[in-house]
Amino acid sequence: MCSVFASTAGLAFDPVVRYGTVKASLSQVPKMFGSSIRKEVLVHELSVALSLLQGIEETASRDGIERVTAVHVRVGTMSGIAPDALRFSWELATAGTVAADSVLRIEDVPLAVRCERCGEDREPGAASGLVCPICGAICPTIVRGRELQLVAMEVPA
Amino acid sequence: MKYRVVQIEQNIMRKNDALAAALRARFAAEGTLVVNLLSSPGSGKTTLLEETLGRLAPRLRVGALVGDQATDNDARRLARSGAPVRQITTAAECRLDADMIGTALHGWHAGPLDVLFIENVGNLICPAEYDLGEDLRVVVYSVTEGEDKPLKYPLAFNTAQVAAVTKIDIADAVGFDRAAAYRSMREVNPALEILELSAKTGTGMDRWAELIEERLQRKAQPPAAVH
Repeated sequence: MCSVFASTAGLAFDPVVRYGTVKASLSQVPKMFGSSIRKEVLVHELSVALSLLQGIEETASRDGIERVTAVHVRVGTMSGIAPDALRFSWELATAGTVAADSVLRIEDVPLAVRCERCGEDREPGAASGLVCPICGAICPTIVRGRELQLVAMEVPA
Repeated sequence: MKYRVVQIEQNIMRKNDALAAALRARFAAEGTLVVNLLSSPGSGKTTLLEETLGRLAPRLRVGALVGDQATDNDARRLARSGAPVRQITTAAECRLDADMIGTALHGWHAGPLDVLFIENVGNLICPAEYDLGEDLRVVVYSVTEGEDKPLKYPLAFNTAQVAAVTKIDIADAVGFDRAAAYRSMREVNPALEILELSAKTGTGMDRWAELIEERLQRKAQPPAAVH
């Protein structure tokens, strides 16, 4: 589904990610965003960015759109996406495409679970389990927070 | 600059989900039970799988697809069991997806299988998002990992049906806090079946093999419709 290739030889050190004519060294990333972003996570964001781009390119080609200035996406906190890494990946993925230099507008969707005891949807805090913050019941049904959606794009009028 | 907004509203996992549904239909028609193994690197997935293939191979037709970013070392190790094994080298990708499984099955002369194990890339984040058409998702967690890991990676544990707690033979030596670890697991998935295993000493391996066989039977003989 995603066409990302890396040189596997240097994988443990500094993989080069290629997509079309884009090349970037993954070692640039920690410098840009701090060492908290792990390479394996960035790769995930890059593949998500490419899927988003595919949706944009399909829509643009269908509607005869030549330039996209902004893209709106919805990202759940449980989706494993780091917004900064997604923005960086977006820049890489879109170079030379209809969405080059476009702004990625990310709407965060907090995790929400269904609390059967309260009869309400509740938002547990980060890394606190799927537990109702009000009554303490375990709530395994996730109702929001797994979103990875391409919502809309802005194009010159 | 004036602009207009073009609404799209599309789930970006939709392609994977559609491919996974097609795989699931195919596996159902072939009567193959598919087990997707997820874990962090170093949790003992390959050792567990090596031992599992060895135990099941005399009784069942078993095979494995193995995902890694680089090398086919795991496939070589697993092939020693005599079961058909195929390596999927994912290069930059941090997980397997349904398309990779479809591609790997194509031209793989494994013959009809009762059980297909899929060893995912060692990573608890991305693989949790990707349905591979499996019947059973197993999160492999070793006693050397933090007891709060299920809270840090809730989706992997939430979407699994079984937690295989590996390296149980060294639990005491590394001060594994069972109660805390299992409490974390239950907090993200109260229905999770927790199995303590050691591929090295054999602890729990009979129960694990039984569980696979039970699931296979259940798949082969779907329960009569309730009227």
